[in-house]
Amino acid sequence: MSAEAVVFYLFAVITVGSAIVVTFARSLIYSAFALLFTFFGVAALYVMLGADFLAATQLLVYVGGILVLLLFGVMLTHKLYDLELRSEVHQFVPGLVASAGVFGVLTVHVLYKARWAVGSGKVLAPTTSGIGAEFMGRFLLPFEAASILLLVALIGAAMIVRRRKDA
Amino acid sequence: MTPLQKACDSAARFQPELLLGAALLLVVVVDSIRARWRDAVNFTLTAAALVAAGVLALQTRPEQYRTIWDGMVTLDSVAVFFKVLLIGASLLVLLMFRRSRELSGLVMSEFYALLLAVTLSNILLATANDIAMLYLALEMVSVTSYVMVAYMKGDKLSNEASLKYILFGAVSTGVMLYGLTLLYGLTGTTSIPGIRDVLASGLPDESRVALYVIALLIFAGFGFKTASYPSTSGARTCTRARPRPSRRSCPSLRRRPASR
Amino acid sequence: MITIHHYLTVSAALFALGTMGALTRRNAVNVLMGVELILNSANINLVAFSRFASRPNLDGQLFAVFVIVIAAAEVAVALAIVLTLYRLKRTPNLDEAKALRG
Repeated sequence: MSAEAVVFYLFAVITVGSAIVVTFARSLIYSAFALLFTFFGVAALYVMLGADFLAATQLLVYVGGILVLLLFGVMLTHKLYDLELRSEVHQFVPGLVASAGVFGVLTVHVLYKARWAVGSGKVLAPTTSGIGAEFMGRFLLPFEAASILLLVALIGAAMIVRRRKDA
Repeated sequence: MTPLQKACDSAARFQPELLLGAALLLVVVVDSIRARWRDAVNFTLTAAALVAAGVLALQTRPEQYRTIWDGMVTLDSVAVFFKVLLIGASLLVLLMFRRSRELSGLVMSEFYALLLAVTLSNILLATANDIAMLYLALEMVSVTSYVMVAYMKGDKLSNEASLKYILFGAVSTGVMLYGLTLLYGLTGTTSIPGIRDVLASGLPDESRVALYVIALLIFAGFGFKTASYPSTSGARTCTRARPRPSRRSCPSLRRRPASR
Repeated sequence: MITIHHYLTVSAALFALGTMGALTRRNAVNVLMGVELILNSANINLVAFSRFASRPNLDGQLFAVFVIVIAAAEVAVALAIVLTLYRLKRTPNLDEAKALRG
């Protein structure tokens, strides 16, 4: 097996294994830390796919932002002196059947059979300047619209959580 | 044309939306001033911005119909129709909010900002020409409506409804996004006319099941957001939330993103 | 030789696990973790298709950046609502939120 294959399988096992822990762990903290490893695994897969800017963004935003937020959410919604962070699961078997069915259909019928619009693949090169050029070119409007989304989320989240009734 | 010239040309044809965006920012700034006339000024500002945006949208002439922002947004008769429809709906909601008893104790300025934001997002959703813009606009509408539905935070029922709405909505748009990525993989392009061309020119037989699955995933997501059968429970949950006028932002059969 | 199908299988596994988590979990924060898995799986799809595309383009990666941005905004608002629910009811369990059935 080539070195590329070894590295790929290593990170794929890390990613999917941690995702299994996220989904099936009994304790919330185990899920949160397994999610950390999942995000790291995904960032490693991005690097293998040549998306260097995206891997860095994934680490900064997902691990540094979203995961920290989720940990705050976990910690703030339980009594701290009583660290019983259990989380239960209901309707386990129907959910398992449904998602196993989805995975089965996807792998057997869709992913390996369809003729994806792929070619030999592009040469791996740093992507940051290309992404920056696209942000100012074709993707200018989504870039600006995303800033409005973030403004609304900021106003909204702060407004929902604050305690006083008036501003 | 250089990218700057293209951007300026697109901005000149984007006046209603730019006006709504500027009004949104102005409402937020006025909201930061501690004065008693804050709510009244914001109300008139929002109403004036909506009316002006509607008038500007109606002034689009047929020879200006084209795709702007480098293929991200279209401008044609359907787009103008939906712009006017959405602005009109938001004006109605604005007037209803003014008379709502449930909201009489709360600060309203942020609500006006959210109303402008949801109008702008709905217009972007109706005129989107690219699946990246489509997904972004759909999420803008969703996140803004999550916030609007959660506005009355003291009420338990409203809070529970908003939590259910946001969790359902997040899962369904996640599923839709997965379908959109498979569609991008199948066609190699993110622009909707490009996808239409690739699909119209025929796909090989092996890709047929993939296309069915993709369609299923995308419609599962969209179905929740527009409360189409069989996902009507979203509308039922959301309409239990107060304040009642914000039910307009719930998924409903009336609010349909323009499809091509 | 790592082809695109390897990456697609990884993302399909993440998608299945994410929907499983989002559908069966009782705690709201766990459901959000499932949603994050779904969004990550879509991102892997996008980047993989962009890398192996027949004509070289960065569209997939740019779309993925926007998905990351949207995920961050969504989690912020969702956690704000979860915190408010916890303040009112002292539990983040979704089963306790049963005043609205259906």
